[in-house]
Amino acid sequence: MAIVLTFNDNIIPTDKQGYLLDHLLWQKELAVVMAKNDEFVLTDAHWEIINFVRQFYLTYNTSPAIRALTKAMKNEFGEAKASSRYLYKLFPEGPAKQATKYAGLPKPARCI
Amino acid sequence: MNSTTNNTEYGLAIINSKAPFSSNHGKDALDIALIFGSFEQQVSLFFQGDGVYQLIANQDATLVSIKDYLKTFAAFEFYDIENVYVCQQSLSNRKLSEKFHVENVQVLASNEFRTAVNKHQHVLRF
Amino acid sequence: MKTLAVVVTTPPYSPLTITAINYLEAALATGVNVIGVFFYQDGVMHANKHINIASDEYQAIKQWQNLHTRYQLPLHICITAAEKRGITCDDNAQINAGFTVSGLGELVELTTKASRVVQF
Repeated sequence: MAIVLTFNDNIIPTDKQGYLLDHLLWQKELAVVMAKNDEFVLTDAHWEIINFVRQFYLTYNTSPAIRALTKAMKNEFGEAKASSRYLYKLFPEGPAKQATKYAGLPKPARCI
Repeated sequence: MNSTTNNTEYGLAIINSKAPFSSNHGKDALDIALIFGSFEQQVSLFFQGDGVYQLIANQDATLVSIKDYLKTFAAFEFYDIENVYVCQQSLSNRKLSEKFHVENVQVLASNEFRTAVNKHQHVLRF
Repeated sequence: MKTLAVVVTTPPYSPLTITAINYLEAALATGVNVIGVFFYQDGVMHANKHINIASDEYQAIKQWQNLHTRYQLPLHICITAAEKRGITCDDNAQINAGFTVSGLGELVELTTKASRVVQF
């Protein structure tokens, strides 16, 4: 089933799972709409991760797998937040999968 | 499992022998390295032959419309990929200087390069 | 006991594939414990049901299936490499019998378990 993402009266192209096809079209307000469509509420804690994952992608051209994400987060946010338990609490369907979606990034190809 | 040999701790060696943007070999090898890192398995990267071009600085794959997987090399620390080796002979044959786009690349003479590969339990070549 | 894992990166129409199959047949016939074959890069094409190779040429896919039936040899394909090559893995309709849709995680599993890994 195709998902139609409408934003400011424009249709934003996505893949079948609702990931943006062009990450450059991303903006904060669009992520809010995407989350709303999924009935998912984004808090400041979510935004911290979303922004971090997006920055990781823009720097390294790849979305981080969960372990790399926690390692990278340790440098930035310290030990407490750099755990997969913390990340899964925020993104129950998997941080790599969910955070990348609202960060406007492609669906991670790797199956882990 | 029994029969742990004394070189098991070195895990997997991936030898990259192809130039970065003429085929998918480099990217396919990188995907394996990242997975091994994610699974906390020891993996080392070796570059020889035209593979050394994958390490050379100031390349921009987007100029030829290719997704630049070389940018991912800078994230190796988050995947615990610490051993990156390049063959000195291959560099000098191509008149390339040791200006790499990642840090901590170890330049090895041919015999040292061979010795380093041999320390690993498994080898994959791309 | 010594264990062997094999990585196949060559497509069904490649002569190197024949070498891989001959090697595995010899290994299995002498009782080597082969814990699995991992198909990567063009190797995943062995799982594609739509591959059609002239009947007077080497039938690699049939040979893999024979090995699978005779020795219960696990044949894993990398899903990302497969989807990139038009093999949809959502259901098994497009996948040849005997092949299992896996990911690179399976390659990690095989290499950590195997005492030897051979790549073709």
